[in-house]
Amino acid sequence: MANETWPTELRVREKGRVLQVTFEDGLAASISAERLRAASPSADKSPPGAGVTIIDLETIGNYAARFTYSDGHSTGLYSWDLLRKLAAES
Amino acid sequence: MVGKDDILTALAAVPGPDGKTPLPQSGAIDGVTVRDGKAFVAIKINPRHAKAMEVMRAEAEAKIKALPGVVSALVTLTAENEGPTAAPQAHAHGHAHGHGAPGARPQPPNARPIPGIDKVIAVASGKGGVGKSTTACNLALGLARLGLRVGVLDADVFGPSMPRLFGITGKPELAAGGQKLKPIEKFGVKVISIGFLVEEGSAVVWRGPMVMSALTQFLREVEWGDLDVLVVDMPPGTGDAQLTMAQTVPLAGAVIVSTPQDLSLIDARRGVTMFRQVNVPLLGVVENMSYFVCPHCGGRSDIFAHGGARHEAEAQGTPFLGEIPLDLRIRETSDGGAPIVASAPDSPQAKAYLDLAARVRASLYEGQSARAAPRIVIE
Repeated sequence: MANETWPTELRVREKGRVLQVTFEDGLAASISAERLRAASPSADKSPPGAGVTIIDLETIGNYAARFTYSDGHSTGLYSWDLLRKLAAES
Repeated sequence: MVGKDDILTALAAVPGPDGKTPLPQSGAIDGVTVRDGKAFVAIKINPRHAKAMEVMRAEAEAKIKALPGVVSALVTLTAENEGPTAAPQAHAHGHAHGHGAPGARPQPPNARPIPGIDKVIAVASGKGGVGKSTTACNLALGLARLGLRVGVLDADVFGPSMPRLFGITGKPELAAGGQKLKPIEKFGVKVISIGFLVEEGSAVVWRGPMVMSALTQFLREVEWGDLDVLVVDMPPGTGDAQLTMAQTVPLAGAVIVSTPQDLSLIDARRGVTMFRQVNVPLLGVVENMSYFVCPHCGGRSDIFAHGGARHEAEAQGTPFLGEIPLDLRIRETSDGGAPIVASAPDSPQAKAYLDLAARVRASLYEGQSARAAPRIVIE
């Protein structure tokens, strides 16, 4: 549970096309919905729909977020560590 | 006369739940009825997205109303049961209405705190038989003696121990309104257990989703009232029930119970690792059956070795919460339904639990607590 990986805000922008995530240490990054969808850690490896957008988002316990996409995919639980990794790479 | 086909043709202009596929092709239409120009359409949706789907519902209604020959149109959204977590959500939805809050929206289902309950803590172990339930029971009573308002949720649906430990034989009643179950209060602590609902000795033979559903209901459909701490007695291991608890509520912390021998400690380590993975703060490790003092000669035997849990806690970087001896009186009072902290609070055995409760309270309120969930904004 490294301190710097804890996000303080998850903001869905541009009608679901972009997730903006801000971390405790101030790092903020925008991740496109397509990239987020492609990085889904779900066992369901159905191919992403074209022009996929985020239509919903909820937190899971203390450790992850679940996104629901416009192509119907919603089974990926994105841990804070994974979000951090995606944010660091953008 | 307007028929079903006319309705479906009109709805082809409305995008379905995914925002693209026309409604009739989306598979979401659950039923279309037309009688004397009055049209009724039901659309299945995931209840989590009810708010977002309202636009679609209104659009569908408008399109049908615009049809010549239609007197009135009613389009309703129905909750689709898409998986194990959907059932309790549908329930939550029903509740909001049942309690007479007009226009109340279903809450986001997961990880929301339980109204009235300040902190939920889990008492867990890697393996069975280490005295986890006895510890959970006496820890709860100890916390209550420290002046906290305490509840106990027996999450061990396959082996519920709380009815026996608390000496409760009655069945819980329905709370006013008939929607929620009232916990049974004993020794100043509110208790709920699947054991209240089935005969002692009968087996609960359930698959995982049933367990998940039962736990969610125990959390949200029991009238806990205002509690400072809800102590959850977990089943042994790192399975479905543990994951459900970690995902359904923001746990304020976990207490791991272990006996000092290596066999138990290896499994305790798994418990520690699991809670770490889901970011549940570890309040610490308790060493149960730590030593045995012979009632005849007063000699002390370290039956399961001694100090192993302390070393393990240090190795894992988590606090060590204390030692509970292997003691005849603790066993007798537990089996007799008069737990030692309630029946003999001044005994040295009870003191071990009271010390444990004090340390748990200290780490809950002063130490590392669960951090706030990130803010969620959907623009």
